[in-house]
Amino acid sequence: MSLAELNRRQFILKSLTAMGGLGLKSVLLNLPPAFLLRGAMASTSAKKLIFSHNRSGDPLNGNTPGSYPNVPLNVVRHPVSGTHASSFVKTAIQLGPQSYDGAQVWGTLSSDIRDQMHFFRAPTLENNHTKGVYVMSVRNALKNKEGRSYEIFPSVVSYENAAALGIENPKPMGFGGVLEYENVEEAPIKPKALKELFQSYTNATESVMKQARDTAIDALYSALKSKGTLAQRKYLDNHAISRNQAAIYATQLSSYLTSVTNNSTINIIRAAVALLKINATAAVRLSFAFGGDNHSDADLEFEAEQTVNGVADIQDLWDEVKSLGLENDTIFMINNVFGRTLEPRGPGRGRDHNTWDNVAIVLGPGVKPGVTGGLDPNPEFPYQRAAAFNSVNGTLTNPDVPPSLAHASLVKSVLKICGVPEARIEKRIKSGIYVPNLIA
Amino acid sequence: MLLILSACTSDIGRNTGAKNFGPIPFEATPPISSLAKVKSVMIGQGPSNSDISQVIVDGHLDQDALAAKVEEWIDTPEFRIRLKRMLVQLLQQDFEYDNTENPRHTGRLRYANTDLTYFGGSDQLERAQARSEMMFDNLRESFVRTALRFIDQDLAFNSIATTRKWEVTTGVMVLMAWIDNPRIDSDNHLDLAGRRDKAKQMYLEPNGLVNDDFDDWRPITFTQAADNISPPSFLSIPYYRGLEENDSTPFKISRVGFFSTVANRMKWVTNDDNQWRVIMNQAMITGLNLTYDTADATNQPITAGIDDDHAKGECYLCHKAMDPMRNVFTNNMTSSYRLKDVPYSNLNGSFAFFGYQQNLSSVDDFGNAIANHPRFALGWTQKLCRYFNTGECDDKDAELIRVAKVFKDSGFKFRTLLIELLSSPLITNQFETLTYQKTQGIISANRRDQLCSTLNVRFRDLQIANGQSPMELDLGQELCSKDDALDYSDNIPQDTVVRGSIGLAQPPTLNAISTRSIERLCRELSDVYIGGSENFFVFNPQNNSSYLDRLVKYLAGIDTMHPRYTALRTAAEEIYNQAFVAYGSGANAQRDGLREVFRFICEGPEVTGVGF
Repeated sequence: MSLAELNRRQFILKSLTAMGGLGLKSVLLNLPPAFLLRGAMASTSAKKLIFSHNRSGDPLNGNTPGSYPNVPLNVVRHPVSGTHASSFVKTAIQLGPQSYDGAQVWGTLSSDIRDQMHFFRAPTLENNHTKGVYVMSVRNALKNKEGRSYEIFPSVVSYENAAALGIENPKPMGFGGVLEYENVEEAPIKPKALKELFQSYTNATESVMKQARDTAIDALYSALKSKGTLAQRKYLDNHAISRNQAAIYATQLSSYLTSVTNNSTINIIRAAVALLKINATAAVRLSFAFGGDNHSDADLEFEAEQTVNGVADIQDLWDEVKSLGLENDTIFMINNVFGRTLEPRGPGRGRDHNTWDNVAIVLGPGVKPGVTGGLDPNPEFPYQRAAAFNSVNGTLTNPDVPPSLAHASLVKSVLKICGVPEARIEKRIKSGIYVPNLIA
Repeated sequence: MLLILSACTSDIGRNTGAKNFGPIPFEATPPISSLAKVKSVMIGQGPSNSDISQVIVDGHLDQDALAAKVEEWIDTPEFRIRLKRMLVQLLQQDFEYDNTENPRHTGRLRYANTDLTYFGGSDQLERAQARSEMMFDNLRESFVRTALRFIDQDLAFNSIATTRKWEVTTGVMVLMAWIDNPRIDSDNHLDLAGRRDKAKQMYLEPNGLVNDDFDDWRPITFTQAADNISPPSFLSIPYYRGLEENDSTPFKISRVGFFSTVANRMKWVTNDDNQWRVIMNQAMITGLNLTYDTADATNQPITAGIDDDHAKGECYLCHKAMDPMRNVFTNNMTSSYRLKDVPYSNLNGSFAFFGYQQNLSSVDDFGNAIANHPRFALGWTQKLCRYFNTGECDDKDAELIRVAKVFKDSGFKFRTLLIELLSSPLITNQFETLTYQKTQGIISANRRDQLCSTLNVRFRDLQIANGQSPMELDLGQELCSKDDALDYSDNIPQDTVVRGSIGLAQPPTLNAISTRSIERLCRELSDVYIGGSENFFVFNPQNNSSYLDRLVKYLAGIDTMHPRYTALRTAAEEIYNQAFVAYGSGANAQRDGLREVFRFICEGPEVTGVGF
């Protein structure tokens, strides 16, 4: 496709999607005018979201800042042996102006990350691997766009922020693991397939012939585009826009995916950030691993290795976000299906599922750096469960958020950080409160 | 029916424009597009010259003639395949086996672990695995075949909710006998879940199932076993193998209607929290196209079975209707769909739902309540209307209500519903209906099944026209997984049953990813079928013209009488000539030219759109 032709198509597409053509845009995009209008009125601080969810239930709650209370290892365990043991030495991790005790490895993240990174103790109150959708919808407390049924968190952000960001696609995109939009599972994307699907034509003849076919289709149906029925015109317009979008994706994506060779984590990162960059969606879902389902990880060495790699993944991701200039527009969040047990479980055993403790991570503009919540010293289950916390300063003093509301409060607060208008947040989730300690 | 049709034909093809059903001005669909839509959704082909001359008279669509065509197309093998696909989804029998959840209900039927030592070698293990897959296919197909029997024999279709006479194989019956085992483990789950020794006995020789046991379909009636009767064990394979057409056999678990099939229960796994409510709601959706609603004011005369947790507040509004319905199931079954140990509970049951109330004392009563519900006919008319239109019709539409009445008055004959609906303006959009305000005569994009099936049918036509043996008729699964085609077809949206949703998820529009996927799929198929491993054509410069004719006629589905034939044929020729220049006039020039024409048509609206 020639540059002139591409520019013409881009111009048409942009013209069509300008607010002045609301009715036409609505018709063309098959989105209700209310959706588009809402976008026009929505918060200008709308952010894109990269959401990591792991059904394994990773032991982030065993080593993140705030997870090293002054208790012996037979109360709260940390990795102490193997190649990566030094990465889990109790260290003061600087998060913005304050420091918190955590595994040394978290201090390896660059300061620009730690200056806008928050660790939030929020048990999911689930301990079943298959409950990912249930947890991502905050046990169905997070509602669909009409305020009914349920919707999972990344799908709420993708829908609510798409219009405000000028993104036509209201759905999230994912790279594996369950992802639902309006209760319908979305097919996972593989970075290598994405690259191949949208790679530019390397063969000049193929490119010429693709343009010839598009031109022939446009010419063949030009009369119907002006004089056909509304349904015919809509179909033809949508067909043309999809072809144009695909061509634009191909042109834009291919440059971001040149280094993709397989479906490894770094390539998932590249593809995810690229999709956000070209406005293919407002939210992507992926899965970073931090130790996994480590029941039999006797010495926690696998946990240590995966956590070191997982922290590196966060650094890689934010570097990619910055390299594409999205650091002021993107929120990254990790929220797994559950956390893991902290006390030793006996010889040869690693960590089991923990219904009552979990740590989420939030990173990006609008995030106040720090830690919210902590482990409950209650002698019935000392330091094994998340405690109630104070929403203003995140400590356990004068708590106003019980563990049962921590997850809802986390999600509600991140929706606000993502720029979703409060009226829409209240439609989506009634429970929980906004946590000032998390929101900058 | 003829009288009613005659009454309707007075408006056919006219934009009356005077009915004012809503703010959107009515536009009639061009008759050729309506004809193309109906033929496309039924069998995937475009209208032939014969179809056009019979159905379009003086520029208007003859509804009676279209009805006659629909009746003809119903009996084609192409429609049969699509009908089966439609029914497996609408009857909610299309489960995906879940290694975590399903074993609680059906036992470990699929071998996730490959224990060669236990199975005595890879041959045995592979055979057991293959038979477990056959079993799943049988389970999905069983009630669809049952419904097809009602359709083929013009029996009352509402009997899908009450019938105990199912189309089954020996394999299906043996599995049902396996599940009928009343013993449960300490977690209230099927105690056979971990009993691979039993599974091995069931699946392998010398005394287990053989491949033929998964292909001996016949109708068998499943009677309700009395308390003092023990149905033959699942190891009594010769007994089940010996049951002949129209025989009966007892089971303790009530096997009544679409909602009590193994497939339906594997699809909608309940649990200790849910306690059968998912089955209740999905049964209402399947049978009546309705879901529990707080606005339903139908008086529920009893409160037995309502959980204390839901006995007040907002939840109560739904639970008061739903929970007493469950009693006929929960009285003697666990939340793993297993029989309880005696003693059973004996709560009264009551069906009270959208204006219809009936006391329940058995699962058969529950099925009867669905079959007798005044919404059954309208529900299924709406279900099909939505399916064929890829969009909801208006429940208040007089035409929808009329079609539903015709369906009901026919004695719930499904063929009558198909004929009446597919020739109705609800689908053809030949004159204004209230539904137009919702659908605006929508032209939807083909989803994966429809696209692959359409390509399968049209490829077969091309092969027949070229004097070749046609590929196997199917939903296009083989075609769309040929070489790298699977990578691309996988990215095309699929119709999906969604838990709790009344309608299927049917993404009606193209987007960048699906469009690109179709482009790549078409490219892949052109490489395979034109000068590739499955070549359509014998290249000879003298054949160009006839090959272009065939691509337009069969792949695009545009016959010579179609108003767009000349323009499309000319465009095809131009693309061919441009390709000839672009690729150079070497040895492969003809091949490359035809490939480009193929891609041009395959990517275009005549193939990607439904009834363009």
